[in-house]
Amino acid sequence: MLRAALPLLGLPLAGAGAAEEPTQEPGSWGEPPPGLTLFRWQWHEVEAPYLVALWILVASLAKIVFHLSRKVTSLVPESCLLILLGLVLGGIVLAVAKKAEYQLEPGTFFLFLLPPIVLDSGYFMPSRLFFDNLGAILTYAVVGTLWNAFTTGAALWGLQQAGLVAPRVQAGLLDFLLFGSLISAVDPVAVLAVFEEVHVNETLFIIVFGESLLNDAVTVVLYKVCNSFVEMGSANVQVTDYLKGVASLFVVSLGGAAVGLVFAFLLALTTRFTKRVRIIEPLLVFLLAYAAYLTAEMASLSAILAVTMCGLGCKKYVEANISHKSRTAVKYTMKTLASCAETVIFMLLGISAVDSSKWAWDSGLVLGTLFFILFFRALGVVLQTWMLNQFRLVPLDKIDQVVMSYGGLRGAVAFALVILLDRTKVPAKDYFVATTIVVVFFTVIVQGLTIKPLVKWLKVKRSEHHKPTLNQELHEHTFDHILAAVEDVVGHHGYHYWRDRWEQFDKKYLSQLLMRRSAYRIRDQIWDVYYRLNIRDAISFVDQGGHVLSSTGLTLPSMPSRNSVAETSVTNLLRESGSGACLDLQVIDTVRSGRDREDAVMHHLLCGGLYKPRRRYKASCSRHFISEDAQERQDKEIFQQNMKRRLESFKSTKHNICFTKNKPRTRKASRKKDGVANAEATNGKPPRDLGFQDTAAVILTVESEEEEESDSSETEKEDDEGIIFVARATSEVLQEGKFSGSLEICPSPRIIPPSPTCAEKELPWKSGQGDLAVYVSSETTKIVPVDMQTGWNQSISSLESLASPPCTQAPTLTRLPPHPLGTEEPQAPLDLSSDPRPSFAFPPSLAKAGRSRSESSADISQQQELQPLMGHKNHTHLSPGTANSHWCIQFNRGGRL
Amino acid sequence: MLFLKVGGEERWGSGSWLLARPLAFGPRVTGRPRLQSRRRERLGPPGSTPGSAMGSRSSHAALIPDVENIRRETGFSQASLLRLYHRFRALDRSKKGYLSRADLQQIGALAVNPLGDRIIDSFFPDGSQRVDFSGFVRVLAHFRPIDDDTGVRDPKQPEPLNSRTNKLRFAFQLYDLDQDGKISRHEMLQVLRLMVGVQVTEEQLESITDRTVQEADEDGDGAVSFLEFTKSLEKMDIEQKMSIRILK
Repeated sequence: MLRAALPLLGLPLAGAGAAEEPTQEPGSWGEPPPGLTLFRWQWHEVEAPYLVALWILVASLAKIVFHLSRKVTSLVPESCLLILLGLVLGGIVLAVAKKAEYQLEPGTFFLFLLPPIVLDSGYFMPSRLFFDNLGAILTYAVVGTLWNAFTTGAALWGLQQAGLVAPRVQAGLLDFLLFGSLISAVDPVAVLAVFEEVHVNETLFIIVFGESLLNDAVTVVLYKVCNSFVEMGSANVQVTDYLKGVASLFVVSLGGAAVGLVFAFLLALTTRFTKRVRIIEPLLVFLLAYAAYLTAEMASLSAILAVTMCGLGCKKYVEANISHKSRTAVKYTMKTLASCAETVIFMLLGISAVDSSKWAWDSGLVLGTLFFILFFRALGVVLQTWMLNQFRLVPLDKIDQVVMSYGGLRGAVAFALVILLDRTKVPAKDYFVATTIVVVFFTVIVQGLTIKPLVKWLKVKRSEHHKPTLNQELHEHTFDHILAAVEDVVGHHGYHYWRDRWEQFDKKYLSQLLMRRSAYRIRDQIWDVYYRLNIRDAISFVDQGGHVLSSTGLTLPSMPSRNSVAETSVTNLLRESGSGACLDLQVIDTVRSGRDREDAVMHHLLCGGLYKPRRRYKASCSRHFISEDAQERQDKEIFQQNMKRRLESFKSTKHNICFTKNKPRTRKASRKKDGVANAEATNGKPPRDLGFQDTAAVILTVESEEEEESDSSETEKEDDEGIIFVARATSEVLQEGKFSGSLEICPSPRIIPPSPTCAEKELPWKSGQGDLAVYVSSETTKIVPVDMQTGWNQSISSLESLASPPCTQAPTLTRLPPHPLGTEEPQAPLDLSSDPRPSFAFPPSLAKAGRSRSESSADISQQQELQPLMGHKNHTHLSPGTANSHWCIQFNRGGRL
Repeated sequence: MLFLKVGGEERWGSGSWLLARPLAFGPRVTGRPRLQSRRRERLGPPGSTPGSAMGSRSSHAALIPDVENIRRETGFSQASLLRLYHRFRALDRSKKGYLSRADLQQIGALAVNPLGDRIIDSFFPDGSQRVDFSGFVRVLAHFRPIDDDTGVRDPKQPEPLNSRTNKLRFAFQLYDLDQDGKISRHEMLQVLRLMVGVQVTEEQLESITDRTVQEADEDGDGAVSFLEFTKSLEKMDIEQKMSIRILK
């Protein structure tokens, strides 16, 4: 018994199993060693797990080999290749060992190989699609399977009565019904393996696949009922037994689903509290899902249904609760396990077929079964579809029906069930085994091979993968609400009504209960799409290997490409500007040579572009947190830099962000006046005509990594908080005077001058120091190195100085000591960002959150270090007299640009 | 479960169809006039807004007044019309023969619907305060499935009210509050505010709005015109997503 269990145990943790096994029972192999031996061969200790690991290794290697040739895999489904490989391997084993070994054991299959596949498919099931088509899926799964089982069984019995099946097949009607029940069920593993490569449209896929998952309950019930009837003997079966059989259908299916949902609930609830032990999150997912499977199996309920429901039910909440990395881990582990199990299943199927001692051939039975399962499947599909189409909004057309009929693949479930039959009770078992093997091989190999050409030939609507857009997501929600409302108006409480109801319930109670608060707060589908789009943009941008300053002609993958000046490289703009004529006489002596300017630009570019580690990380040795190594950290920071820059180049029309009501009116008024004065003062400037839109501003959203915050932050709130950088053209601020006051609430902006070039240091007229001044909030400093900030601001500024007329920049100096030029100083047009309060507005809440971080003390000290560099430097060397010209210089440069 | 539910409803529907049989010819017989009407409608302006014409017809005299005209225009089957008429009468509590805003607002679930108010508004175009049965049906006709009962599609003769364009236009009007033919940024923000949960902050909302508008906005005017709206949804199966099966 233990011997039998060992390979089973070893399977799911195959890799680890081989290594751990020897240490588990070190002393179990009795006799004390005669002495110290240098070398000991202990094959028997590790045999079982070793073999399991070896088989998986072989299967994986085979997979690699298959995929070496794209041509082969595009023509032949992997499942076919694996079965063939299994046949070959089985033949070798048979030839070497003279007996068939390593077969597909039903125990192994049901306890270890099947669950990962079902969990994978349940967890990644597109739930919306699934529920949209639930009616059809349930019909096919329940009615279809019952139909298939009874018709096939009865027809085979008829065949036997007609004398077409050899008399040595000793089976009565009940035996044939039993056989019919196990051969009728469409197999999820086979369907998945074949349909994943044939990309039919989603509706068709979900119907066939959903059917194959949900029909498990029916198959299990039918199989068990028929089996017990056969064992009881048909004479002893009473009416109550039939009634019990019908009742058990409901018990098994609903019970299985209930078990799954209970475990889904538990799983979601558990992950809500894993904030501090992120590392076990993936494990929890697998453990509880597996527990659901085993529980259902224990109570002889439909285990497949249970684990499907568990995956389907928990996904939304689990995904919201667990960290990003755990999500990836869950995804990959699940896919790996499923693919592993699938590979092993098909290979073992092939191997098992070699063992001729188990099966006995009867041509009449085999051919009859093949014909009947195909015929009755097709007939059943046509009949059910006709019935369903009376109710369906989008009827399933003939082509869909052909694919559905043809896609009814049988697989390992049928094989495992037929192996489980008791030969003493079912004398025809060997014939059934042979027939099942042929049916499975035929459906997987022949149908699997031909379904792709068939789909092509019939021109079945393929699935089209288009990336989600915000618009689609938003409008889809709108449509849902519209339909729900129209159903209300019509007074018909149909599908949309109930879905709407469910969503409200979910939002009100379930999500609140099952999601941690921070996750719940930001969990919104539209926001989610937005977030993912941003991430994708950033990633694809980084993948392109470029960054804003060096690559030209950037296009956003998620947005329709259009000519946007803001997306062209800053460098180019700077260079182009060199040829601009300067019309302002006052600035004549401050015009730098092209060389000079390029040097300066280059210098600042490098300042901004080079990576400078800013943070100091504590060494972390905790086993409970994955400590990021230095490389990873650098990657992350570089990624963030790049992403930031990338997003920076978005052109957008951004309006006010933080808008406060209790702002000093007088100040606003005076500022407005100043603005007007400035506008007058700068009237003579050359018209800016570079095709920019007036409002070139920047939205920048950097989602802080959950991970890095989870160990640093105490407040749950900030866990998933995005940091939003908003830059806004000042012209708007002026236009909407009321908003200018809002800038005061922005958290202490600071001025951080970039390291000036030598020329800039020594020759004040060359410098344009003021315009390179940069305000950085605590938030920004936290994420991006300070120098990065300057680079950022530079690039924005050079964009914006072109984008908006310098004259309209709002004089919004509030923090700096008032001095005569205070209001004019930041208007240096070369970089608007020297005027950052209009440009960067941090939501107060975010700022607060930022300060509350435990890290923030470090930030503050860092900022204090920087303080001396900030601010006054720019102003002190300006006397009122020079200031004017200085201002003009800047303005003029902007104009030229 | 769900399927059974739907089946039950359908049976109820066919029950009312039995009721309707003495009144009219039945759906099979009415197939031809409907085809004719479709042809006739095709000549008219395709984008006519629901309820803009035919406002004067009073509809409480007979059981369904003008049933032929309404059916021709909307394409509803006799049974559906009768069912809708019963619903109309049920909503019209004080039996005044038309519906007011209050009548629709009293529908419980509509109050919870984030777009409920806007959808109610769409029943009252041009600031009118009442909607009669034909106007009521005409709005609902947008959600009639495009294909016929038999499932055979007839691509050559698009229905005026439940065509893809009209379905889209209906949705578009829900966004376009000031009816200037464009969804401005502000209008988009308002819709998003309704749709997105309270948990998303205003700043995030604004960024989403910006991105949404940018995404759809092709001519760069900072607003989404109907053409751009259509284009942003061209990959979506509007015919399916904006149809309700029972409104055949």
